[in-house]
Amino acid sequence: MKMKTICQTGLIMSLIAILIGCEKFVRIEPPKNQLVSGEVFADSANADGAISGIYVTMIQPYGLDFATGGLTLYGGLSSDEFSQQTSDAEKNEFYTNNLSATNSYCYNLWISAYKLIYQVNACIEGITQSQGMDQAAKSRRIAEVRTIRAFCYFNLVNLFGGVPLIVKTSYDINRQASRSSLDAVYAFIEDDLKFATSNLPTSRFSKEKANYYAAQALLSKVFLFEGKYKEAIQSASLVITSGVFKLETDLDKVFQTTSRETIWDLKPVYPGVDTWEGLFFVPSSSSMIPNYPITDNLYNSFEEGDLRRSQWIGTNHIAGNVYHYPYKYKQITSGTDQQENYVLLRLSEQYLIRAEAAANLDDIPATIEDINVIRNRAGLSDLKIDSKSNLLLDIEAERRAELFCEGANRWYDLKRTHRATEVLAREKAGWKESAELFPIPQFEINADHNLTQNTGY
Amino acid sequence: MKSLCIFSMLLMPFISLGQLVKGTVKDTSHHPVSGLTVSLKGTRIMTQTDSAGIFEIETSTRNKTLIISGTGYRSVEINVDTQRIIQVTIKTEVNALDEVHVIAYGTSTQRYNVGSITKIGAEDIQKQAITNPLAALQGKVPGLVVTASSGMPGASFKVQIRGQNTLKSNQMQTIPPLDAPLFIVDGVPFAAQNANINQFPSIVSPGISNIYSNAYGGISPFNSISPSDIASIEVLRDADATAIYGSRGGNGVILITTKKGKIGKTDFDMNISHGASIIGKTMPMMNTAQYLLMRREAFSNDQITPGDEAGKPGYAPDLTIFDSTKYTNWKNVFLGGTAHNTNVNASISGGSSNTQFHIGANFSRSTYIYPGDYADDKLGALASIHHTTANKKFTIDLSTNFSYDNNNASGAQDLLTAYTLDPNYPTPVDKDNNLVWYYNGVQLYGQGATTNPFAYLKRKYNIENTLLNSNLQLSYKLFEGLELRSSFGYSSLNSSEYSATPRSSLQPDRQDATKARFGRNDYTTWLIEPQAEYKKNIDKAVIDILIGGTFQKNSNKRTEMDGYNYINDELIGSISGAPTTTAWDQFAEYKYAALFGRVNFRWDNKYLINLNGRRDGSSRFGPNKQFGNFGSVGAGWLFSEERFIREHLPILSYAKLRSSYGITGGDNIGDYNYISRWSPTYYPYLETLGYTPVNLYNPDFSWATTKKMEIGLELGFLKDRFLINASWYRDRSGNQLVSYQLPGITGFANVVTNWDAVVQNSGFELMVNASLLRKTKLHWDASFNITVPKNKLLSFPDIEQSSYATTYIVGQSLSVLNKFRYAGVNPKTGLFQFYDAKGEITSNPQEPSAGNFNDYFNIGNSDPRFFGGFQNTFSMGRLQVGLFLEFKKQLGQNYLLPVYSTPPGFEFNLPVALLDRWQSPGNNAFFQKLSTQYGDVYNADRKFTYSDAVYSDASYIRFKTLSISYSLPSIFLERYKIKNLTINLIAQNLWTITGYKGNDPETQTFYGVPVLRTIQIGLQLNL
Repeated sequence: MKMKTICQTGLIMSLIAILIGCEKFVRIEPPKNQLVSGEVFADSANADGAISGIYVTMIQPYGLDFATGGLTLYGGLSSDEFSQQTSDAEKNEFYTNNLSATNSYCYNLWISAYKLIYQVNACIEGITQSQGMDQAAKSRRIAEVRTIRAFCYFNLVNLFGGVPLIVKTSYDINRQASRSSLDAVYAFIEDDLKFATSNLPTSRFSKEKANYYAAQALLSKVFLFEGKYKEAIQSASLVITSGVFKLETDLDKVFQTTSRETIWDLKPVYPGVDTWEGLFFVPSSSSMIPNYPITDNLYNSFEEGDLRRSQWIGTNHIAGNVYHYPYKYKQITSGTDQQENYVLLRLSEQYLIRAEAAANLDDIPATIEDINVIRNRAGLSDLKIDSKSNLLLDIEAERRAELFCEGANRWYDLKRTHRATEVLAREKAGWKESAELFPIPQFEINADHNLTQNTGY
Repeated sequence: MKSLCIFSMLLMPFISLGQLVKGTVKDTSHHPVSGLTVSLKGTRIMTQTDSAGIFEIETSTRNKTLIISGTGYRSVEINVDTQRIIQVTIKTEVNALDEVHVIAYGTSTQRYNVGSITKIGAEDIQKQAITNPLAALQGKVPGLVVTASSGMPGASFKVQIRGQNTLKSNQMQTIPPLDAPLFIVDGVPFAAQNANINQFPSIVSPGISNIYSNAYGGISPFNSISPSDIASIEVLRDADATAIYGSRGGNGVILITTKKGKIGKTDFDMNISHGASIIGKTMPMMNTAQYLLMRREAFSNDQITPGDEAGKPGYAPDLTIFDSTKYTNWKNVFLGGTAHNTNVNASISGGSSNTQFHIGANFSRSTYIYPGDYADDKLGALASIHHTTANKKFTIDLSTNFSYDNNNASGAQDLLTAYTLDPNYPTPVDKDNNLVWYYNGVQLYGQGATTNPFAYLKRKYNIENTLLNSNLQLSYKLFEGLELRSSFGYSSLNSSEYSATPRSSLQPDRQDATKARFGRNDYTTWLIEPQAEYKKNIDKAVIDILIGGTFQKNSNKRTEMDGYNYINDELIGSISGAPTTTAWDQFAEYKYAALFGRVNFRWDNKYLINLNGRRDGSSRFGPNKQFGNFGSVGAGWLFSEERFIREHLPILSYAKLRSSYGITGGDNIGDYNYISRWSPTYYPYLETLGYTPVNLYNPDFSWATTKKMEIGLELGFLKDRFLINASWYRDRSGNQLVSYQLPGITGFANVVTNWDAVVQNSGFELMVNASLLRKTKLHWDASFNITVPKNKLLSFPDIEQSSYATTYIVGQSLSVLNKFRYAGVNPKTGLFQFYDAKGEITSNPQEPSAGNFNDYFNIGNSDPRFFGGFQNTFSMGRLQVGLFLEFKKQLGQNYLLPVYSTPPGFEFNLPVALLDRWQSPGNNAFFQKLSTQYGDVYNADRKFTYSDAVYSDASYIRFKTLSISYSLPSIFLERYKIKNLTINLIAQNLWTITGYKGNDPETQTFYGVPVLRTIQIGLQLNL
């Protein structure tokens, strides 16, 4: 009968438990693998974790996403860099300049950028409210994340036109946002980058993070796109003359982690892979057809003897056919050592920006000087010029040769110089001017009725 | 007359060859039955069985047939020729109304129950060739929809009671989170519920992309419970039946009760069965001639000459490189196999009046129809014990169910598309079964099935599940009427998963990385439920008061470790063998607490009243939002007990009017959503681990509420030979808890919030049971059920302004289909055409945008219009035949959506039906012209997949089960001391009557395996 006593006690105790336990019982701790937001910005070490999180979000996605090669691929397909895609309809929509508003790759570019912007905004709000950092520490960190935000908006505005400016985390406001004007977006980008350049340190920085020179270099590009040539020259010069960066003489080393030419690059985090461009652009053997062959037009656009063609373009001969592919990144997978970072900004572009800005201000000698730096490095002789209008075309050609299949440079260049129709109508049967802007993703318009669609969609 | 009898009896030994027959009568569980009447047919000679079930009777030459009968038993006729000693088994025949039902915290009978409950017994479950107990419910229960996701072993079933109550959370999600019922196994909430327990894809669970259209597909946790262990499954539907489970039971409750011991001699039962399964009807695919014709035409439509230069628009290895005379029916290669299913289960049970036990064990092995060494092996054990002390005051009940399941398959879901390889595709393996990657120097790269599907067979997938489900209940009778009890339940389902891409499955000259994924997914639930119950009879009143509490905790822990770049395939089964690894984990915890009270009141066995009240607390809500009060009231009137009915309508043997109304809460929104959370990143950046935000922050949401109403009428005629149970229900869910869909510019796709939309599920359910024939030699029982459900979005304030503007329509079902209307092929251009909003024909209709439907029309919904089942059972002595038909009327997705996901004309094989295509101007065809390019034709293809043409009638009548069983006559068995030996033959899914366009109207997959046709033979042995 001992059993009976034990059970009786058990029963009575359970009944008592009901009376006292209910309210406390349903309180739970946050999951073991997560933090609540207050803890994230408690001190600078944790805040740095939140900032690291932004870089991971940028570089982590498997495949060619917003900051991992998507701009290169979709910009390159939309312009005249990559050939037709015969096995993926949605990718081919970029090639035929016939995007549908539901195109999932286009949607991913948009979503990925705005996810980063949310993280930046959350960091700005969290750091601002943090009790664990002094003002200088706060400003430096805010400047860093605002550079990233500027990078996102710069690409968004060039892909989609005037996009909604999201500056806070509150979803109640953001879910009804309208599109801002082109000027407002550019002004906002400038504002971010000016804040960054005045608050980021000029020494002891990592080029694998958004740093002072990255902000300055991006700013010079923004100025060029806006037609603010003097300011563009000023910013580009600050980068070029800083002495921090140097053009690599060997083209094969430009995209390596040791490159002194890169101003801002991202360190790959995905195990076994260096860059996604390396993995997806370079065929794994000489008998494989590349996933993304480049156009004959691009291959033939190089001058004879241009080392960039021989060193940055790969070629496979298969069954009597020739396939060219981008070979700037050479590592398909990484062995024990990781050799290549994913480059967002590099020095040679700054020379080209300064050259183009100078040309627009009719400073021909300065233009020629900068162009020749780039040409000579590529094994070409000095540029011979006849007139200014041709000079601008020469710069365009030089930018193409230097920056092909890198970001969406070619795509942006053709659009900002209003040459897209002239150039692409020749190449592509279905070209229409409205294709210059990608469609605002349909899902976004359906979820936020204040968003308007670009014309032609 | 009497003296005549005696006289004849006295004379019998002298004037006839009559003899004395001695017999023993036992019931189906082999317990002797006393008090039965044994009579000699055609005479008035009769006797009764004694306490040992034994009788003696004298037969005559003319009359040699005995009739054995008694109340509660089905009469038996036995012909005794020369036998002197006979064994008779008699079957119980309990009035269905008085059969014991398991209900919330107790048992009841249909007669005195106010709630809406359907019971499926062990008999019903065992007469089906199934391996997942959920399959046993298909078509058997009104209001319950059970849909198979695939015909492969271990695949999940979608289970829903009385429709969807919750809105879906975003537009990208084509599939809303399913409102699933609460599953309770032996009193314990089943740890995994009906969640898909797999984390990795496989051929069983290919994912939800258009191509596979395998909504809710996955690996089912219920695969771990052996159908042979189940004593009964009860399905609880209305407010009264489910109220006591509170918010957990808001979407209905399914109670699974395993077998328990009975008082009597120890029984040994054993079942052995073996079955063979093949794929059901599938669509015939083109042969080489048809295929090549189709491809050539597609190129000619595009005005492109097929070429052999890869990567160029005209590349067509099937036309220019492959052997144009070769033909392989790839469907036979991949789907033409026979799957085998072996089941063995055995149990011992018995007990004294104080202690009863049941111990069972089972083993089953199911193979796949796919080539490859794939199989699902299961081992299980069940033990239950019941003990009462001599003074009957203290009772202890313990039941434990343990099982281990090991399912091997391929982790490459693209294997499912392999059968669309070009019919003249070179065999991608050589004579020695080595993979072949080149044909005449050309890389093999099939468009439909990509690379080499035989390599996919080498990508091993494995899931091992261990289930432990155990419940202990202690109760103590404090004094007559008052019982204190408490139950302690524990349920855990641990699955360990493995998916590998070994070097041997990769092309040797490519640098693709080898990879192995190791996952664990552990579900645990524990539960403590103290209760006090008081029962009292006063005059004509029967009162039952129950007060209790629930403390429940569910946790789910998932981990994944991935290894990359294995150098050696031998090590790919181990994470230590990988040079590069990553790891990841995830936790979720849910706590639920409740206090409840229930009062059952019965007056004069005529008037029934049930009151339920409760206070629920859930950890899914923020501080001060955690508790809610809910309740229900139910009433019943057994008007057949009224004198005026008894006198004037004696045909009506049973009649009850019942009704219930209740409010329950809902917290089905996922854990932790009221806290703003950040999670560590998967990888560090520059040696710093990053944090990324997980969700948008809303601390204010709280309980959703569902108001349930039901009215039921139950009638029994002719001494309950005909029973009718009809119900009408109406559930309204308001203050909806939704993941409100947001534009991506907010950084996230959704945020959890309450939304003032109301969803209504209403419907009519009817169940008829009839004993059509009750001849001694032939019994014919029939059971029919039908449900006519209706789902409706009742209100949604400001829907036009919301992100749901073109997802839902007020007044329509939540499964509303808004699509283009297909208008046939333009005879001139050969392109698909559609109707625009004005009703005019266009080839470029506009999709919805910014809250405008544009050219989308409401074409109906995918809810079942009605569904049900029809069971017939014939008993002819030792032979029993059962026939079961399941039917459903619905609109469903046909084969055209998956087929048109890649445009027809490209390098992959198509169903022969696609030959009805436009060929030249003037043609009237159903399908537009073929093309090999992403041009106008492709754009029209895409619009076509958004049109009503990819939906069509998916109604069916399925001859689900034919079961024939024969019990061997006891005379043969006696010698070997065998009580019973039955031979069973079961045919499952024998044929289906349907007008469905595609493979199978239930699974609605084109790239997948529909439910299989199975023939199973079995032996049931009883000692």
